[in-house]
Amino acid sequence: MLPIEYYLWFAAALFAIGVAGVLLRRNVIIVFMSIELMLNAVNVTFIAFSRQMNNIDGQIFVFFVMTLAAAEVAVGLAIIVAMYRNKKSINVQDMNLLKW
Amino acid sequence: MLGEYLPLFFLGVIVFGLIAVMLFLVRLLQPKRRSETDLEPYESGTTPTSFARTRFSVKFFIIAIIFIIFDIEVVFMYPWAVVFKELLNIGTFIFIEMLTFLGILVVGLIYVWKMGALEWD
Amino acid sequence: MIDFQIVPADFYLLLPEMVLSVGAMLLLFLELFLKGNKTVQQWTAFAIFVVALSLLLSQESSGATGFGMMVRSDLFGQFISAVVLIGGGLTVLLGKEYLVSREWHRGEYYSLLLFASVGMLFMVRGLDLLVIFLGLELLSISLYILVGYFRDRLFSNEAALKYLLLGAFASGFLLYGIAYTYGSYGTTNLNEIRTMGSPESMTFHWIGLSLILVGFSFKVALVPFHMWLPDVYQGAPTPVTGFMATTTKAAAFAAMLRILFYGFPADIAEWMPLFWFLSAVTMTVGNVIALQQSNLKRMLAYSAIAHAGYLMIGVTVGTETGAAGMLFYLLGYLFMNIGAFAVVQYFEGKDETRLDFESYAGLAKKHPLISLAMTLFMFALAGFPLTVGFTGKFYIFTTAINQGFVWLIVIAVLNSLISVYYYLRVVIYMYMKPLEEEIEFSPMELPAKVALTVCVYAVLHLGVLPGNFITLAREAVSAIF
Repeated sequence: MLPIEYYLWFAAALFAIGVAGVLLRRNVIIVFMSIELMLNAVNVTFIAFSRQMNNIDGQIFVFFVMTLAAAEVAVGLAIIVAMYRNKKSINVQDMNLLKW
Repeated sequence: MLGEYLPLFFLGVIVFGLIAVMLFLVRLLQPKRRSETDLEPYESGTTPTSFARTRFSVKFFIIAIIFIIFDIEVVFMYPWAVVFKELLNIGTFIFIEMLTFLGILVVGLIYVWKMGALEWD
Repeated sequence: MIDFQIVPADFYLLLPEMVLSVGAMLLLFLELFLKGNKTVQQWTAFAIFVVALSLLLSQESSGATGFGMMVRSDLFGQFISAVVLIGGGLTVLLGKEYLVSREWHRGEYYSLLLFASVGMLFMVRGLDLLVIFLGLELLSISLYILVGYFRDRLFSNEAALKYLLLGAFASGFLLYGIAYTYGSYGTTNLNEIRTMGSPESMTFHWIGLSLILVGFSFKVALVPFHMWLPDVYQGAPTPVTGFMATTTKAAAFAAMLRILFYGFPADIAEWMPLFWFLSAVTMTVGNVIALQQSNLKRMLAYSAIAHAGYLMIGVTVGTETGAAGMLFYLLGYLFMNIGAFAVVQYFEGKDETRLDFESYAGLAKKHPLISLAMTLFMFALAGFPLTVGFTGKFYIFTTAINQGFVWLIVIAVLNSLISVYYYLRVVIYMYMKPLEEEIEFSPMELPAKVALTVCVYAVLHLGVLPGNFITLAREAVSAIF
């Protein structure tokens, strides 16, 4: 079995890519995908710890994270659709009605 | 040992040999003239009617959203099913528990249904 | 994993949450099958809040745990849960006219308020990071929808999308922190973490706790994680803003207190310099930017950031009295801020045009009572004596001084003085400036009047006779130390 550090570094890299995506990308859908990437990095971390410690709790947590991610995406897509209907754009930079 | 990989080597030879023979036969036997249709993307055998990257109707999004929500719940049913028999010996609580969970989902389903989100038009 | 048997007492413990959840679903059904006047929905929602509150208060606060130590019934949880439920009830009473005038008065609104309250109750009563996290997410997702509730308005859409993106981003950090905490302790249960004392891996412990703190800093909007808040508060429907600003702040701070003080008591002292810094920066930035705002909703949003800074003093001090001061201040903040937003929502008119200071000019002559209420709320937010704003701040500040945080309190007092300027500006416009244009407001309906009166009374009562409630807050806080 690979040592746990490998998994942790892998998850950290995934998480960093996700954070970079949220901060740098302009298309809302891609920002969303980056957030999913962050959540999946968390899942990898949980599973790695869970395997290492022979403790099932972490895997249960992963189920809840997955459900939560689905719920967030559903609400997010709904908001994006509503916004697109009014604005005809899903670019983050076009969200300038309220100043950042 | 390298000898273990000998069958794999022969398999490779056969595969690549077959590909070469087939490509050669196609060259030999195919009709000589090419039409416009040959260069179009393959779409289930019918000729494509429009460009593939058009905008989709928002109805697809709504169906997709509802699908995500109701699809992910299965994640909780697998672990439940695994321990079901074992915990049924203690009491019927585990059964009632899942009924409650599904009941909450059904409330959502009824809401979605009555609001007309499942109607295509 | 803890082996546990589920007993009826567990369900008794969760009765308030269950009543709220069933009520929320009931409201969805009412919306589907009951056409016509929606007043029924409003009263049903209010009744559910009242029932949940009375069930909550009738419970024993013995510190009993349920569902294998997933939730804990103690006075601390009860106190903040009561704040949340009172806030929810007041919001239900206040919001109707606003929504009716925009033709968005629907049962889903109340349903979402109830779901958000369930989430907050789980957040403050959960004893496991899993439960706290799930409560937080239930709250957040309900709020994303509530913020974007006017789906045909671009302001609302934009606020909802920003809130959702940054909220999900913050959840990612929080979760990553929980994952590392799990990695260093082998459990997510705060009780087990507390009894274990020292982690198996110090590195993982530090990574985990700092990421959890980043996540919570986003949720309570501490500088530098505050950027989302003004936009979201401005874009959301005003009743929702009032609800968010008060109850969510209470729940998020309570969850943070429980995690820090109950789960990681040994770390408070080590983190103190960071808390000190966050507190000072948050109140300064909030107040200074609030000075420059012309939009009242946005001004109140920055004032909310500043108040998060004042509240952080309680965490910085890290003693029981400091946390008790926070609890008391959160209770007072509920009434003064919900009241302020109620007045804003009454005056702002149908298309949110009357939100700047100029449109408050001369309103005192035509609406003496409501202007008087607004004056009281502004005085309370600024921290004038005889209001809860003063007693709350006084309590937190003296505790901090007694613990030797003199410079922090100097900054806090200077900040309070700055804040007087922008709070009083509203009052000056209302009383000293001439009326610019005649505008007829439809008279306030009775439920809203009652709710506003309750806010006024509570602000004065807690300001003049705070004794009982401070004692209660101190008892409540002893449950998590």
